[in-house]
Parts: sequence; structure tokens; C-alpha cells
Amino acid sequence: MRLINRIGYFIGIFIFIAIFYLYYATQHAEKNLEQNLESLFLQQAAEAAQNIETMIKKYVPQDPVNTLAREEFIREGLQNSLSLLVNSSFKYIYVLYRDQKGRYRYLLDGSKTDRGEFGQKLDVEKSLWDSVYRTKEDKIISHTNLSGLWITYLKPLIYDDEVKAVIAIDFSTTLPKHIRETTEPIESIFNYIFGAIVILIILLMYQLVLNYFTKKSSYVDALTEVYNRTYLREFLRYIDPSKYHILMIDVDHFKKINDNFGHKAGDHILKEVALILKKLLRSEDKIIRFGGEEFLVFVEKDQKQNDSLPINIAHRIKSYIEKYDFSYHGYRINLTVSIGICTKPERFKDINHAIKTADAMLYQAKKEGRNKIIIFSQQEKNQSCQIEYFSIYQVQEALDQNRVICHYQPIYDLESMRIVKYEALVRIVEKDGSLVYPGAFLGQIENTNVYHALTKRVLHLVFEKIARYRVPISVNLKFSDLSDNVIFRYIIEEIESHRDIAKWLIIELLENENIDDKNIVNVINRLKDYKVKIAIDDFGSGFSNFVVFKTLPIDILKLDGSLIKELDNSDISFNIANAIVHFAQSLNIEVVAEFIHSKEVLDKVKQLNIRYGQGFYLGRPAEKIESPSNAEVLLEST
Amino acid sequence: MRKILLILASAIILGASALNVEKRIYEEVLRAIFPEKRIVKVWSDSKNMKRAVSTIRWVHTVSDPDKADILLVNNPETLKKIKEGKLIIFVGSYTLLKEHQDMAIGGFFWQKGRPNLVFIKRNIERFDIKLPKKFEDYVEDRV
Repeated sequence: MRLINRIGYFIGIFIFIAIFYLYYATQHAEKNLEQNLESLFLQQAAEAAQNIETMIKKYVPQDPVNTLAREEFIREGLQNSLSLLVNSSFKYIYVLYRDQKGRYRYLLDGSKTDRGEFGQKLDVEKSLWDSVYRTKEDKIISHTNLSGLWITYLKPLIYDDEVKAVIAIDFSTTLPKHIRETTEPIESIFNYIFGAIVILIILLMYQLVLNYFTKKSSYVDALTEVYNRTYLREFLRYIDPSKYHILMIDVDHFKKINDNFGHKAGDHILKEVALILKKLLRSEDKIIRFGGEEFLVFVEKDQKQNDSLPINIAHRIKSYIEKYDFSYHGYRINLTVSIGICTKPERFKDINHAIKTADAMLYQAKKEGRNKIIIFSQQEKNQSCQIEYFSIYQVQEALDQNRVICHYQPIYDLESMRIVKYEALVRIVEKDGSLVYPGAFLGQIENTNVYHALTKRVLHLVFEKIARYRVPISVNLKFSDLSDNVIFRYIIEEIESHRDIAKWLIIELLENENIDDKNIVNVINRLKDYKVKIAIDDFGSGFSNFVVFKTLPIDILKLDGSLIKELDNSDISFNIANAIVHFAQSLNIEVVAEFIHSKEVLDKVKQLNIRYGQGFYLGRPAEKIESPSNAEVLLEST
Repeated sequence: MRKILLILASAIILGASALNVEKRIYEEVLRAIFPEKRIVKVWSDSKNMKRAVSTIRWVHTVSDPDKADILLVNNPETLKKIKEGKLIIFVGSYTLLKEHQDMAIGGFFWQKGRPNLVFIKRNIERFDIKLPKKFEDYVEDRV
């Protein structure tokens, strides 16, 4: 594309120069022709003057003025000879001498009519003629008038190194006039063409300028006046990843600013943050508003390829914003930012993966308490490089080719040690048969139609299993999925079409989101109308909030794996888990322990009187499931 | 002198129209001959000469040569009828001037595409005409 653009520019410049040259050549053709004609006539005049000089000197070897004053016969003979040279071009041929008073008088005149007498005064351009006497050199006097070219060629007649007289040839031609008359219409046509081209070029330039400003404005975020994602798309087309470091910057708790002070305050803060970024970054660095309060920065590498450059910049930004007094309508607002850094984007499969990595580092920084900078380390890089991230198109292709499947991890009743239900876990089967795990594709398809389609497919697969094995199966969703009208419609459609077996479905809601949607209660109650069970997943970490049990009709609580896997060597984890279990039991909520990876952990789980458990120690996820013989009983037990 | 030269030179260099050049030269000549006259009465036997002077604001052409201050003559027959020595005569050709250099005070004519001006010294003196210095170069003893 760049090459095509370059060729386009080259052709444009070439056409412009060609037109300009053509115009210049046309305008100067007439002048050049006149000059050439003038040269031709001058050459002929010079030769004629030279011959005249030779002839005069032949017949008058010395003192021409006195000799010719005396010798009328010689004078007549010479004049007749001169008159032979007179023609339509050489109009007058004559020889003048300068008298003692400095007046020019006829020595000889070759004119056939209007012949001057010897000694008759002729008023000429004295200063120009005098210069011939002074310099002893030929002189050309050009006169132009409307009818054509008129030139006087002067040649000194020198005797004994002294100018005694001046030979003059007046010549004129109407040829330039005729040429001008012939070329004028052609010149006019060219002038009209050039005029039209100039107007076209002006219009083109106007369009280009208009296009430039329109394009420029389409590349800039109206609020923050930094680049937007449209620019990012263009920028990524031609980027050389080895020339940049990537910073992903997010304003911490920005939602709270919007909630507490209003959206105008939020906008004001974003503008301020963007101004700070512009101030702290160099002109060659690119600042892009990536999302709501998220800024993506491409920091151009210095000559030393120093990895500390983006880290120093990130620290400078973080520190500046932390100390900066943000104020809105008299309210002081303290802000912090979290920053994810990817120092070597060129080591990734493509630039999008590098951006995602910077984003993942940002997410990590937020997870670790915010106001942090996380740099993508070499170790992480090695791990990351082993993960082949899927693009949205690959996921769509997998959906189209029915390569999306579910694996099912058994959940045991720890008293009877029998499988009582399963947790469905989505997988994509690669064309070579290898499995791709959700971490490699869920992030890419979030908030897209592909995500919606994947959710519908998973529910469909789960209902197929339920219909066949009559066993409770849980699927993982997010609270935000239930808030999403499209996804919720899909869920309801699937449940409606499997209304008779909907009671076997368990929806596990991930407990890592801040639940503040009032509508979520209605949505969950609607699911409960179909006897679908609701579980809270990963309870005990992240956004864990006991209030959720007050507002939502929760049936199952799944203890977070990070608590369970440390039960055998952390008293704190044990006590926290114990408190949660007591709390759940008091509310008659079933408790499931995840991540049971050893006998020791299983014993501790049992010690906590947790009824259900899952984990690699008990059973790994697999495509096939066993059909419990007493499924109805199991259903009752859940 | 410089002004006269300029007019003569401009006639060639700028390709000025002959009539315009003639008008300007006649204007200079008549002013030089009659420096104190507010109105100069001119008689001429030549249409061209009449046309050249008629555009000068302070020159009036008259039909009776006896009432004229100066005669602009281009026809040799006219000179034969004029009584010698009584009237100021200015001719329009070199031949006429050469033939009647005892009568005419001078002449203005074109030669080799150049305007030429000549005053005859003794005739100027005869009419007690004091020409400005700028005309010095154009005064000849005889032609």
C-alpha cells in the first residue's frame, strides 16, 4: 500500500512538473524564436558590415572622410555598391562620421531613395554611437515596435587604430509579427488548458486539505484530544513493533468519580489526565484513548533500546498523577493510575498480542490493588509465548465447524464419595485435535457477537448432556452476561426450549465482578422461575461480598480455589473457609469446595463439613460423563 | 537639449507614432521660436503638418498666411509665392530646406526612420530668434 502511495505521489509530481514545463516552454517558444531570428539576422548583418569595411578600405586605403569628400567618383561607386546590399530585410546601409562638434554626418549612404548627401547631418542616438568610437567594437541597438524587430548594427571603420567612421545597417523584419499571429491562437488554447488544469489542481488541493482535516479530526478523540481507536487501526497497519514500548494506563476507580461527581466531572478528569500525559511524554510518542478511562501509549525507543525508558516514564506518570491536585467545582479529587508495560512488542506474534499483554499487565496491576506498575517480565514472556492466542475469526471458524466442545469436571458428594453433578468447561478443538483453553480466546471475543454465539453453543451442549444423562451440570457465566440483553435472551431461549430439564441446570456466577445492577435480582428470579439453580463461584476472593446473599436467591456457594488449596498449610485460610461455611450453612446454602488437589486438602475439606467437592484429586475434566443411576435422588440432594 | 534628444530617441526606441513625435517636436520648436507668445498662429500648406500642430493647445492654425506668425511649408510652389524675408518659414523636407536655405529658418523631416531637425543659423539671427541652448546641436551654418 505504501509503495502504491509512493508511486501515486511520484506520478502526481511528474505530471505537475510536466505541465509546468509545457506551460513554460509554450510561453517562451515565441521569445526563443524571436531570439533565434535576431541571431540569424545579426550574423548576416555582421558579415555584411565586415564586407563593407573590406570594400571601403580597398578603395579608400586612408583618411576616408577627406578622401571621399574630394573623390566624388569613388563615393558614388561605393554608394552604388552599398545599395546592392539593400533588400527587404537590410533596409538602410550607410556610413556616418563624427564631425568636430560631435555631430554625425553622412560619409556614404546606400539608400536607393531618401539618400543622404555627403556631410549631411543625421540625428542619431548619440550616446550609443559615441560608445562605438570609444570602445572600437561592434554594437547592436535593438528597437522593438508593434510591427516587428528593428535593429541597427554598428561597426567601427578603423584606420590606424582610430575610428574614422561607423558603418550602420538598419534591418527589420515582420517575421516575428507573422509568427506571433500564427502562434497566438495555439498559445490561447494552451492558456485555456493550463487555466483549466490550474483550477483542477486548486480544487484537488482543496479536496486534499479538506480530506486531511476531516481525517485528522476523525483520528482525534473529541474529549481528550489525543488519538482515538480509528487512528490506532491505521497506526497498527504500518507500525514497526521493534521501535516502540507499550504502556497501558488506566485511571483507578474512575467509575466512582462518575458516580460521585457526575459524568462531567469524569470528562474533566479524563481531559486533565490526557493533558498530563501529553506534558510528560515526548512528541514522538503516541497517546491513544483506548477505552473509557484507558490510555494506550506507544513510547518510541531511544537509540540505546533502553528498557528502563518506558519504566521511568511510567513511574513519572504514576507519581505525577498521584501528586497532582485534580479539582472539579471546588472538590479535590485524588487520583491514581495503574500501568501495564510491554517493553518488547517485537517478540510477540503480532502487535495486537503485545497490546493484549500490556492490557493483561494492567489487569494484573488492578488485581494487585491498583496504583501499581506491572512490567511484562521475561518469565511471563516465555509462558505467554507458549500460549497461542486465538483471534475472533478463529473462534468463529471453530463455532462454524462445530469444534467448540465442553469438558465436564465431576463434583462429588464427599460423604458418599459419589459423583452428583458436573461443571461444564468450554474448549476449542484445534484442527490437529489439540485442545485450546478459554484463556486463549475468551478475552478476544468479549463484548462481541462471537461471545454471544459461544454462550448459546455452550448452553446447547450442556442441555444435550443433561437430556441424555439426566445429571445436574453447571455452566459459568458472569453477572454482566445476565445484564446483557442479548446473552440473557439466548439463555432464556435455550431454557425455554429445554423447559422440562431446566431444573438440572446450574448457573455459576463469577464472584469477581462488582454487582450493582438492580435489574440482576429480577433476572435471577426469572431464571429461578424455571427452577434453574444459582451458584456463586470463587467466593472468598476478589469482590466477595456477603450482601450478595441478602439480595440474591443463591442456592450454592463455591469456595474460591485459592482458599481451598492452602487449607492444609494455612490456618488463616482454614479459618476464613470455616467462617464462610458456617455462614452458608446457617442460610441453608450448599457449599462446594474447588481445587481439591490432594488427600490432605480433601481431609481438611471434610473436617470443615463441606458436603461437596471437586478438583484434580477427585476427577479431571473430561468430555465424557458418567450417568449416575440415582440421578433424581442426586437432584433432590442438590 | 536632453529633452529634444529624448524625444528624438524615443521616436526610434519606443516606436512612438510618427504623428505624436511630430507634435512634440513642433511644440518644442514653436515654443523655442516664440517663447513669449501666448498664442502662436500657424499657417501650413501640408495636411500632415497642420494635423501635427493642431493638437497643441496654444497653437492656432490660420488660413491666411499673412496673419500667421510662422509658415510650415512642404510644397515648393508655396515658397515661390512668398515674399522673401518677411515671414518665418519652417519646412518639412531636407530637399526643400537645401533649396530654400536662404528663406527658411529650418526644417523638420524624417530620414532613415529617424526624426531630423535643422536650424539655419543666419536665418535665425535674421529674425532675431534666440534659441535655447538645447537646440545648439541642431543649428547649422548651411545645408
